[in-house]
Amino acid sequence: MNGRLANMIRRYVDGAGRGRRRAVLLLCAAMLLGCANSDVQFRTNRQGKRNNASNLPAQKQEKLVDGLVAAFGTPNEPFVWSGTALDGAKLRRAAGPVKDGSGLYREHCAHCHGVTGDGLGPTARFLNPYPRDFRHGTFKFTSTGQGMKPTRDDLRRTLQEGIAGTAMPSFKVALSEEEIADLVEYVIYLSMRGEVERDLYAAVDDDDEIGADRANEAAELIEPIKEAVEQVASQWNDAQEQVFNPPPRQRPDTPKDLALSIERGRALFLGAKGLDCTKCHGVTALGDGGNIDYTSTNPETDEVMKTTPDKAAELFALALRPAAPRNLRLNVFRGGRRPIDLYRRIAVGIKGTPMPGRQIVQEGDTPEAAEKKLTTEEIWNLVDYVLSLPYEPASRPQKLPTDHRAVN
Amino acid sequence: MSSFSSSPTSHWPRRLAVLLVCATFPLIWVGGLVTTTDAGMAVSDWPTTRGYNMFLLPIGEWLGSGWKLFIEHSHRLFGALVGMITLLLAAAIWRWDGRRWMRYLALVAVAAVIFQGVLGGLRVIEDERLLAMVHGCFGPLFFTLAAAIAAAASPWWRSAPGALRLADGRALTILAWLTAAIAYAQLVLGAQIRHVPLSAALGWFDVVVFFHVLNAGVLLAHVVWLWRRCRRTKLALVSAPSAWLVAILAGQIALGGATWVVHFGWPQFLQDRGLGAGYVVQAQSAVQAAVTTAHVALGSLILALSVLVALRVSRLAWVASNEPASQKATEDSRTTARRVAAAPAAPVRAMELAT
Repeated sequence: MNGRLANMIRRYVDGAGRGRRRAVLLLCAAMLLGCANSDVQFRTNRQGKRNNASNLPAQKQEKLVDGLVAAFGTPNEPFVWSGTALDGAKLRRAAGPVKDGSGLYREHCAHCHGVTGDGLGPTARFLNPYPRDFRHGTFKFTSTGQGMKPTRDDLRRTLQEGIAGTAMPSFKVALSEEEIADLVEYVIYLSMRGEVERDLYAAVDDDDEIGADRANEAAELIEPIKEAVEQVASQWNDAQEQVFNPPPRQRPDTPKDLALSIERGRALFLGAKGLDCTKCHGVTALGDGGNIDYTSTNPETDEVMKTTPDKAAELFALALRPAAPRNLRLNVFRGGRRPIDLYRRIAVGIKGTPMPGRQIVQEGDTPEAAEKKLTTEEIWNLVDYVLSLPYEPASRPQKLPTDHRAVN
Repeated sequence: MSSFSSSPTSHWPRRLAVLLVCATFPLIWVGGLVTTTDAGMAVSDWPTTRGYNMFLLPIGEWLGSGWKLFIEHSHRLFGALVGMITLLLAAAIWRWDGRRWMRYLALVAVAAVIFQGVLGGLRVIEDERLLAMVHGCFGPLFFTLAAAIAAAASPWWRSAPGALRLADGRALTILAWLTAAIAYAQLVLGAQIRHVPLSAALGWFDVVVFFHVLNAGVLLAHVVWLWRRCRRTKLALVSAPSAWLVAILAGQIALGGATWVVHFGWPQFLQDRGLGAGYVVQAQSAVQAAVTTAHVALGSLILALSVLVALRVSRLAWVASNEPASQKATEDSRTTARRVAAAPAAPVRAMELAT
């Protein structure tokens, strides 16, 4: 009874718009009835490849859900086909209710990222940036090449170090290395499940003859599921061995060499070789370039905003926000502030954001082709410039000394 | 027996009531820590702990099985201790306090502490966060009840009101109780944020946070208003706790902001100005646990203090309205004389009052 009432309340909110009167009613009703619902389930994709999955006819929705349960299990009992190379024991420790030996994800992650990993946890709307939606398989800060999945080590690093200036915490204190590895495995599992769901959506939507026998209908999806799982799993597995490591660098020996490198970096930043850093970061590097871009983990986002912005509220659960270019003078770099981190941000980009990767000059490139690309040294010049920005006088305005002893 | 003319035959009810208050407040801290560090399900059986009788769990297992078991089991033991003190208090009140309503209040306290213990146990057995929330909301009520019993068992409650006169008692009583009700509503709203269910609709958290912040403003306005009204009575019995209420609430609002920051980071508009842009939230760090738990515990303290003020104001107002007219006139003149003495800077106004 209580569950039904809670569901009614949820439906009411989902379709309610955002009227204050309804909010008050919701608050009172839930306080009286209790708003908890212990029946935790994966949510169907509200941002499917073509449309809102909840718009599918009921039978097609059932078929989609049955297929996904067959392929990935449930939040309480996850499992995956052996071809994914995911560790079942780790998944079981991370999944399920919060208890001794299980429930790490629900305890530490689900309130922001959601049980489904769709970035729609209860707190999501308050956070800036929004929590990551794992279902697109796109993660911002990776050590792998452009368009590639992250390595497990990339995800481990994000969990361990957190992301400065965001709600993504560091779990160094809260979790052991084993527990972090369990969570990494579960994040990959949710990401694979989300991507397979998006592929299956098309298969189910195209099916014109849905029968009444649910078991048969789900069985029809086994082959498409297998194909989709294998494809996604191979992307993840390939990424583990394709870390993008720049060739070793000869660091500038003297302050003069470093100043020279910074100067070259500044010229590149301001537009040499056709770089358009200032379009977003601004000439001042304060992040005030003025370019507005909605590109996010969902490739449809920018398209929708440019073609039918009035449909955005219908298609996306969270109000879209323009991407915020980094103020490079704050000395805070969310993907890490080691030189190698900044090198990767410039070379590979920040995935799922307007920050692009760059083409790097390879051996055998023609002079014309090389002219349009960056050399490794030029990327290091840019790194030196970016790392010098917080220490420029413009970033740290100095007061005139008032105490004569300070002068001496 | 007149309720305010009776004299106590023993100090034990008051001593035990004060002990109960002193034991319950740290219990709220420990309970808060259990939730803050997500240790509620560290032990999945109840009333046993890992199969042992709760009181017979080997010390090595209690202290050596990690933080979560340590804090959860400590919470259980502390709760049991508070339960025993409550039983002793009830026995003492039945033995030495002749007031019937006081005896009933003691029975209510016993029922409440048992209910709270069972709620905590059911939260574990059923693994239900909703019960955790109810448990978290009921704890402060029990703490407040303990504070109320301590107030009623104090010598002041029996003797002092006869010598004091509270002007505008009715309006002040309503204001004080309304403030206490708002303080409790604020606490319930906070519990909704703390125990937000994973299945909550996307807008739920926003709505609760909005009302929690809004109600904080309402509560602050009420507390300041109450303090100003209490100060006008020039009775330290009500003006002092109401002043404390203002100070603690100011600290509580600051703690509320800090709680947000240690969980979600600094707001974007401050980061844009360079404040906290490099701050990394540390999950379940000592600072996060301390700040959050302090916010929870101060909420209980604010509720208990506001009820204490309300009780004292009510008591004064009740005495003032029930004492015989001749006595009232005498007390009026005594009170006026005290006010004159207390306000030497305004002798003319004091004389007006005296006449």
